[in-house]
Amino acid sequence: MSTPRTIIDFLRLRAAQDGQRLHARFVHADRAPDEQTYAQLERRTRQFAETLRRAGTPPRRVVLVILQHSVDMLPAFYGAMWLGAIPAFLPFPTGKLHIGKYFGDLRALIERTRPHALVTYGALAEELRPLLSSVDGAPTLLLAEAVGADAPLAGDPRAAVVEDVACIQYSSGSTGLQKGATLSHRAILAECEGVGEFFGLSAADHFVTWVPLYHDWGLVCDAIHPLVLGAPFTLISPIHWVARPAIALEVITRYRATVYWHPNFAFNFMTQRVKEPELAGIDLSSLRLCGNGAEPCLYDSHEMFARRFAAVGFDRRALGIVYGMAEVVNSVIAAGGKGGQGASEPIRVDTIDGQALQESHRAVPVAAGHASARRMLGVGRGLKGTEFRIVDMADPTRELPDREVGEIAIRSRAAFHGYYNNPEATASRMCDGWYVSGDIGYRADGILFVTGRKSDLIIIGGENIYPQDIEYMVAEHSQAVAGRVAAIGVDDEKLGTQRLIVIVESRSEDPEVHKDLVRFVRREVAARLQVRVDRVYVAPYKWLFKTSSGKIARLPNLKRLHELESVTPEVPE
Amino acid sequence: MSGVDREPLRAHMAALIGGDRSLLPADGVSLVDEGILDSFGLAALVALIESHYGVKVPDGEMSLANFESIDRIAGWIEAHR
Repeated sequence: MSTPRTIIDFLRLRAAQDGQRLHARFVHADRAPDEQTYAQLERRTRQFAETLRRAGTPPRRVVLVILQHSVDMLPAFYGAMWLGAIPAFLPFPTGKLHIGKYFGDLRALIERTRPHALVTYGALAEELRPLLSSVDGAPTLLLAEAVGADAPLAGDPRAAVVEDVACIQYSSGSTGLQKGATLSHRAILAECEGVGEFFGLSAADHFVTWVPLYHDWGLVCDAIHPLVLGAPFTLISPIHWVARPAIALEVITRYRATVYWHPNFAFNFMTQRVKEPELAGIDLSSLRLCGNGAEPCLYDSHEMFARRFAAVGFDRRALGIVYGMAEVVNSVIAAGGKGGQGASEPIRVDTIDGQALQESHRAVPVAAGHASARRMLGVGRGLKGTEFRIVDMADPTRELPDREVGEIAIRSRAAFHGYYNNPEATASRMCDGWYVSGDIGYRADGILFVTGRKSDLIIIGGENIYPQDIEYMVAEHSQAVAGRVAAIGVDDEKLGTQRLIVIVESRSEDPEVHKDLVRFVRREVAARLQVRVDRVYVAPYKWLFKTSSGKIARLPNLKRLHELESVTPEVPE
Repeated sequence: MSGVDREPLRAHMAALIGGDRSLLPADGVSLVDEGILDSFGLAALVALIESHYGVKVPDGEMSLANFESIDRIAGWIEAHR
């Protein structure tokens, strides 16, 4: 077989060379894991490809994949890719099914994307079928269960070139705000090459994560990258992990895993939630990369994790960081790890004056004991084929000097083709070939440090949440004042991520109305975005402070939040 | 009705929303629908069930569906202790 140039080339190469070796293992809470070899992966992929072909799926049309934690997830995805169609994973509704609300957002995405097919599971298909009948150009529904073990196989894959779009990665969000980043084979494979080279990853590694495949990090770093390397990976269902986080430690121990990825909050969550008796028999000494990403990486989170698990063999040199976003396939800047280039240059800690950062937008080094000292973790240097620079927030063509805070711009071989069917959104993010990220940071000694976001984007547990989504849905309550709602992500050091607060103005002074409003906010946000509102505050009309341009000012409102505490008092947990 | 003491469960849920008991729904109402309990809250709830009620929750039982209301949590504890 010639040199692999696309993801499907790699899939076929693995099946041809290492057919009986393990491709993936899916761990379940209630039964033994499911395992899939490369030969089984290829066979199942060809079965999904043939099913799609017979359903008339043409090349370059989108195929949505909404599947629960199972070994069919990747064959359904690669099956679309096999035909030259464009797969995209979407999350399935969890908890109690709010199908109407879930469908409302799915409908907006379908109307923009015009997918040809939707591959899903029986229970969800039953709920979706009647709703889809009202949508013009609704996708064909295909059930994974209906693709039997002896289903026919597709022939050779459609010839593809590296610049072809391989898949779409959707951002989270609702009400049509979801944007799909189109990623080519070239971009994804460049990302894998950069990450692999930096951390020294190979076929000898074993990857573990619970980050779901609909998240770009889970998909690329824990499924596609291992396939490219010929390394096995083990996936834990996120629902299983979140209920009992020690499962990740057990899986790492059992399979002698070497690479484990999870977002920053998980360092805190595991440190706080894993119980001492659960550490019996745990051995983390096989890990050479415990990688952080998808949200701001915090010094304290790394420290608490390294200290707690040192006794069970965790080597702090394994701590690593990746930085990126779907528009550059996830990870293009990195630091740390104990096996690759990061081994000779550990994660940089920069102690700066937090007050100067706020007031003069400069990262001024100070001693660790300084009154407003803030410890920043360096997210690293650009990987192979990636450069970054810090630009003026008002003029992205103007580069800023070291230690001045500005917007992070990235130029990379791993850059996306643009947002699917959304050239305006693409144009708003690109400047002379640079992707202007919306993240804020500074550079020192060639290392990138991330300090925040230009927009008020909320990031909770690695999931992006757009405040506008929440503000629109809260304003639907008859007693809320439209346009006078604020959804704010508040940094929480204990959690290692943000927590969500909502401030809603009401003209009513009736406590019963306030209670109804508070409950409405929690219910709507949970149902639509599957995220929990930590605190809801009802404010009197015109309480929220707005800037002269009519935007809700985040910090000034947070500073006077105590005025509202009597309405919904905080008590220590 | 089960004989499980529900007060610690109600206190736990109230703490998740700032402590105001009057904002808690009735025991039969889904705390998941109400946006009070989500999957991130499962681990702490399981810890409470195990430490306070002395009932071990197996991995396969750790789902929001089993613990979505005070009634369901109390019922689960009653059935498993």
